[in-house]
Amino acid sequence: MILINPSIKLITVLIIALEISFTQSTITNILIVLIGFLYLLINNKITWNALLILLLAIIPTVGIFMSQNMYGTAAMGNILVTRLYAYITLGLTFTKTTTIQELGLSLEQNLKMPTKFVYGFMGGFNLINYVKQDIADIKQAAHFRNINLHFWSPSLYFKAILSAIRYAELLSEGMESHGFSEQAYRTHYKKIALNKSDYSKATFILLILQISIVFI
Amino acid sequence: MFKSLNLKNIILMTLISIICGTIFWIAGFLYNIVTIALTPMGLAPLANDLLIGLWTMAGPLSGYIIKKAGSSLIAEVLGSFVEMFWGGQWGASTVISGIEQGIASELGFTILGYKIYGWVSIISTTITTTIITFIWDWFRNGYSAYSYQMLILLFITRLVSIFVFNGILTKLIANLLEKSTILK
Amino acid sequence: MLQIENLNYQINKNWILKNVNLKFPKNSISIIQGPSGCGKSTLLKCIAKLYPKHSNGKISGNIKLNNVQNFNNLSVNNFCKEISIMFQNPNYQFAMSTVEEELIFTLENLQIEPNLIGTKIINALKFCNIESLKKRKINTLSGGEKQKVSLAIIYAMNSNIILLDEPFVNVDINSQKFIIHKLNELKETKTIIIVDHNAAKYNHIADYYYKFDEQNLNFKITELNQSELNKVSNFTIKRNNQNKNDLITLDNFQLSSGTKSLLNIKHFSFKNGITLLTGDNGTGKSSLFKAILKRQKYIGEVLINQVSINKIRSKKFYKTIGLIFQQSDTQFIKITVKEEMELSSKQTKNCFYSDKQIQTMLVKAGLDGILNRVIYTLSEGQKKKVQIISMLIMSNPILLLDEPFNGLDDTSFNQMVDILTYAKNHFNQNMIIISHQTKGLEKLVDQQVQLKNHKLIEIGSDSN
Repeated sequence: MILINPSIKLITVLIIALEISFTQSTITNILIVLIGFLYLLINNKITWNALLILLLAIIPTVGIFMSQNMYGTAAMGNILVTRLYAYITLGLTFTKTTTIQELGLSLEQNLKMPTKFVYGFMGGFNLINYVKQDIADIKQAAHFRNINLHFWSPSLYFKAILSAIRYAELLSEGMESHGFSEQAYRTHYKKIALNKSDYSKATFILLILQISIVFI
Repeated sequence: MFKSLNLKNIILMTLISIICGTIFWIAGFLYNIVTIALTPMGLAPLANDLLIGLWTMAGPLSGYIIKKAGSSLIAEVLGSFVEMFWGGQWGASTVISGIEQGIASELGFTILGYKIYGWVSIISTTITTTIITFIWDWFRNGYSAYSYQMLILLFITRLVSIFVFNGILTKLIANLLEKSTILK
Repeated sequence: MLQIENLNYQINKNWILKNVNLKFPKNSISIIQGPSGCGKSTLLKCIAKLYPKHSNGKISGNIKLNNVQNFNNLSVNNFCKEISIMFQNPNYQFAMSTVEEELIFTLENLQIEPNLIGTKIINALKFCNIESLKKRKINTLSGGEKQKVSLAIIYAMNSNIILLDEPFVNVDINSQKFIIHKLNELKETKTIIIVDHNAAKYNHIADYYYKFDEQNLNFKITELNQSELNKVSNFTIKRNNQNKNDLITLDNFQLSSGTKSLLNIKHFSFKNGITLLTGDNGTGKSSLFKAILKRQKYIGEVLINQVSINKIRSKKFYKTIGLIFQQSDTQFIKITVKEEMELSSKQTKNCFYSDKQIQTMLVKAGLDGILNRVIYTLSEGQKKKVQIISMLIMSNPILLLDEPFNGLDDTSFNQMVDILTYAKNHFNQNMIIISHQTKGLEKLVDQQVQLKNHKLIEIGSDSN
């Protein structure tokens, strides 16, 4: 269910993330975490995966606290930690309530992004499983020759990219065989609505953000 | 500027980001472990600077393979979206970091007019990436609160990390691809 | 009517096609046959206007549809309404995640009015009997299901000419029969051209057969060769199976792919010697290899020389058993042929071959002249030979080979069979070979095992 237009949602999330990068209001950050959490709760999107990500953040959290206490200031420590959790919550509010598909269609229809970017990205993204298999194959092929390839071995990337180049060729041929060409006009089956209400929702949120930063 | 990138390029850049993401999945664990190890000494942010070369690899790698304007930047941005949807540990900041890191490595190639891709370009991308990302972190990640000894340590670590991964490793990979003549 | 006039195609300085002149009449099915690696696929891709755009070749000549020349003026989406193509490997033909999304994507590309798209999708899925797959993710489907999705999309595009490039390589026999039946239906209103290295399966529906002429690099019309029908058959094993040790044993073994069950075996042992493993496409032969090599989850026990594979340490495991991948490119680590061979020589632990023996092998395979070539620039057949020899040098007591003869011409096939026989006789190397081609393997193979109905059956043994 789309409560707010995906493109507007994305831009809003990014603006918020950008603003809190440069402001130092701990309360604002905490507010973002709470509201974000609420949003996820309402949409029933508090999954185990989401909780895991929030839990994992404890590691850098403790790290930041220790580091700022020893070499920086405690106040900065609070800001950074709350900011970290704000980022994560913001990210979750987006990725847990929007599919790549919806985002892609919205970018194409609402932001008029060139289709080569939208569908090139989606096509590539849908090959994730093949790429992962490939890399496992490459590692095993190396084992058969008594070689271990690690993340610092150029050969591992080289082989993976060789395959990727081939996939990119095949996929672009495949897409063309299904009628796709860059810059061509396309009709749209599922329309992603962009209403005044989307703009007002976004403006409202950003306004609250400004108030929070300045006054609280 | 982005006109010359075609569909095939864009698919390839997405795939390169996925490749880096898959190979670094292990390195992601490493980040957490290194952070934990460094925490008692208060040196946890060092983990960020140690491994930053890895996170930013997709950019320069794309720059060497697709020698067109914008390929580093777009690759980093596409990569950040891949990472965000794939289970990003850093949430919304991933995309912003992606844009920032993309610009940083892109400038390394821009300075050379997108014409020089030898070992010279390694130096230029290393310098632009290190400096720009460091300035960014100064403003954004509380580096401004650190003492100057800490800052020097962080800077040098970052420089080395970027040089090793974005520079040397990336160039070695590009050399192999060149040798295989697959980049016609 | 589709006409090809004086078509020439060359890549760098090599001619692929010369003076191709063909006429494909309306409402007919034509089969173009030829060994792997000849220009058949290139011809299709030229007709589909994908080459030379996606290749670095040069084309000359005319392709006319109903006497309209070249359709160079047609935009991509209008072109697809005239000519559509089904690829050999469907994995990389789909941009979108689900079946429905890909259909929508295609129809949007073709600028179909949105209110017509829904009906077209329903009709396309109905045509191929895949309504149940509508919301499924494409990368979870079997090879046969993927090609049915491809066919549904082609049906939705409603092009007058349909091209199929080796469509059944990874397709199970039932899906193959279904799709061929559907092509026969489509023949009534469309022109269909199919490229396949084996034409036998089309003998009930095809109107014309063409064969690739290697001398002239073009195609000649021909009749269906009856001997083609006999290339795949079981041969009787003359050796007896006594005194054979268990090589790889499966106990209470279950293997599945997604929800589809592949193998369900109470107890089976591959014996030592050379085993030929046959079975229809999609039945799980490659997956079985994957399970043995710990790349795929299974239930039960897999034992190598009576030891569970989970108890064999990694180093020892890879010293004992090796795999020749179905795709040659996956096997290579280095850049040139020489480097690849030297790597194996250096890294082998069991050292079956002396340097002299390696040199003899390379000469026999015709590879001694191309040692400094980059592997990725070789033909498929040459790559295969490099792949096989580089793994033989690794000297694994057990070698698994997944369709090692794909893409080999007759001469190369015989060379490789000789080399493998040498390994068997001189080093007692054990092999399990998956191959759909059985003719010519009589002197190499000791026993044949068939994967059928989720079970492994020894063919031609006493206990049949």
